[in-house]
Amino acid sequence: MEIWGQNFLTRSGCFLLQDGVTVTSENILRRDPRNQLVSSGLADDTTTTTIRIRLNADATTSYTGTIGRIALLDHNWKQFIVSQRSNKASTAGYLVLTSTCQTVTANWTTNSLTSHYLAFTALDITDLYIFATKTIVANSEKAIGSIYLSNNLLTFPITPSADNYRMTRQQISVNHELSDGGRRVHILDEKFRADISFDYVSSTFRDSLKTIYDSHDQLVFVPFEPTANGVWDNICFPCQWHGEFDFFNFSDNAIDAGHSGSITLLETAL
Amino acid sequence: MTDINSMIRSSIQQVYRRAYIKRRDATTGLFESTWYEITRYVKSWGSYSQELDYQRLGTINIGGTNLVVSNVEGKFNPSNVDSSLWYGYADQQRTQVKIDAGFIHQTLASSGVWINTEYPGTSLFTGIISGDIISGTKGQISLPIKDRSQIFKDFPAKLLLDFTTTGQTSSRFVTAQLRDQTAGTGSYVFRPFFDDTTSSWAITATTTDYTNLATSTATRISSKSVWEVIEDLATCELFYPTITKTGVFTWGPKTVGASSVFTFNGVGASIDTTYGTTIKDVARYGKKTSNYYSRVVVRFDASDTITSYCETSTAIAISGTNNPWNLGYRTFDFTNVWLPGSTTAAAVASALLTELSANTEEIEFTATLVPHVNVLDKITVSYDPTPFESSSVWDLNDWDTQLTWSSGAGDAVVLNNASFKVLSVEVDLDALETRIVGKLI
Repeated sequence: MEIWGQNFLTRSGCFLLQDGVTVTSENILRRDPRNQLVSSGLADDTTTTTIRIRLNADATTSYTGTIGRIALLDHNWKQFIVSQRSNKASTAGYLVLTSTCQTVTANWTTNSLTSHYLAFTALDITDLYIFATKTIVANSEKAIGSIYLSNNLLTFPITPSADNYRMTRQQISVNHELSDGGRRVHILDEKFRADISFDYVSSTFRDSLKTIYDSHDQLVFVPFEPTANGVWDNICFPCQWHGEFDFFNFSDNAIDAGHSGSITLLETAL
Repeated sequence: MTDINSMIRSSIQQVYRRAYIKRRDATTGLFESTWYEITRYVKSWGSYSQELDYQRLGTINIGGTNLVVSNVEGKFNPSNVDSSLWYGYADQQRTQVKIDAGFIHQTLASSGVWINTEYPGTSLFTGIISGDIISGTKGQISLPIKDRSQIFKDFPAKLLLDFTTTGQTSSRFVTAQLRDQTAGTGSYVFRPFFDDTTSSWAITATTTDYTNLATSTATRISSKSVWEVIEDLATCELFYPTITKTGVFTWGPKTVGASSVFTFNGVGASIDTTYGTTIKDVARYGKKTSNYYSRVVVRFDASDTITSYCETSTAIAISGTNNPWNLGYRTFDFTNVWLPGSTTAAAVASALLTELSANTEEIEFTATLVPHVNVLDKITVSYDPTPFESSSVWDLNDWDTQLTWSSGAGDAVVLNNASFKVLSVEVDLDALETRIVGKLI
């Protein structure tokens, strides 16, 4: 379980270019995979679409962000590269990933997965480039549902028990009762909610959680990061810590027993 | 087939609501070229309405809405606060607002690309911010949104330029003094609120000259707003001035649509695989006798003489089907001195009498979200709450002659493909439901 800092794409000033043209980041920020950033006129595996993420729209002001995690969700890319450099051929710019990712270098040529979790040693960057060339179904427009660009704030040292972990996807909807007694539902949106509680946690972990709680900042929650072979459940969502911080409580009648508390993470608005 | 009807009929369907603003530059005063989306800040959407005021021929009331937005980040503070979305722009008042809502049909192509199609795919409401914007302590602000007729309501008619000394037709007035009205060469006064293009003005040519439109000091001009002048002229022309949901100013006759745009079905209606069941509740149904009149008197001249009036009425006859006899003489009178003479006044009186003397049923009901029905559209309604017979009906009826149960059994509201013209439409964007008032035709 990981908690990341706010997705850079949701920060004011950060903006997105596709093939040199500024595009709205609206679709890329919606977690719903049905809203995608799609290339136009590039349904050809010999052409490349370049997505450039600038951390600061103001070219005159240098802004550097620290990133160590990237999530690419719901894409259809077979061959793609994630790089710090604008030159696609410059292999020195390719991100070097940790062993929990599928590859060591962020350069895929025969990918068949639709989502990727990328972990790497934190870097200070001003721009990030994604070059997508081939698609899983050959010669299709290049599409991606969501991009998260962030830094890992905390990897939970323990995993909650099944009883202490509840993950729900709440439907925001209007339920009409019609004159014949039948029902019709209009779905407005769906939002994740995670309820986690721990017992017997160390003061160190408690303090780490408190630092995150005290930041009063938007977060990204990754319930289960990939295992060593790169398999991921593709779930991460922007959230905020809702309500109180109660890890000051002790789990038993001894100070060294550890602490108990709970965390409620609610998905944010766009 | 996927269309808006199939979206409405679907038992579970994704819907969308989006709100946008268009601000004016603090220096040039010109609107920005693209809409800025504020959906993420909206906490409640309110409801908007269109209502035909058929006692005042030529008037459609378009209701605004109140958009409650989160102001935790200070985005809706006044334009002089640097956190405000208006920082660097002109005042929040008269900012353009657009609300889109409807259904989304989503399919995943084999290429891995989602195809999203929106229905109806056009705006549901366009208007401006007009009214007090007051901050509270709850971190939210209510934005008062009025429809675009407010632009004309806020402008005194006597300040218009380009009156003609000999008077002018109403279409010339709308074209030259509204659509093309400027404050300096090329600086249009009203057109920027209508996408800054003449394409957003649908003007039907007229021939009657109005001497009241000869000078800004004319009595009938000097104390009126532009919108009041528009309404007076509309009465004379038998027009309905409207501003469509997509923001097109329409000056022309508006008649009831020839074919039904939607069929509303409720309990007891036959299975309808095109429109499905949408009626939630019928609030009222019956003859609106209070809106019945058998005599119309129009005063068209300021002088109070016998020749200043024109009247028309339904003749009384001692008959079981004669309305003046059954319901009594009821007189509707009004004054409009813009009417250029007795001939026009008689035509207006006749049109009003036709409308008011029908004494037909009105219905008010709520349905699920039906975003594409407008005032004066023709709709069809089926609703039959007559209870089912729960026990055997064997030997109770003579099946040769009594195949149909009496509609008199059960509730009085029994409608089978009845046609109505829409008098009022209100869409509640929070409850995602539509309230319709219709008159039987």
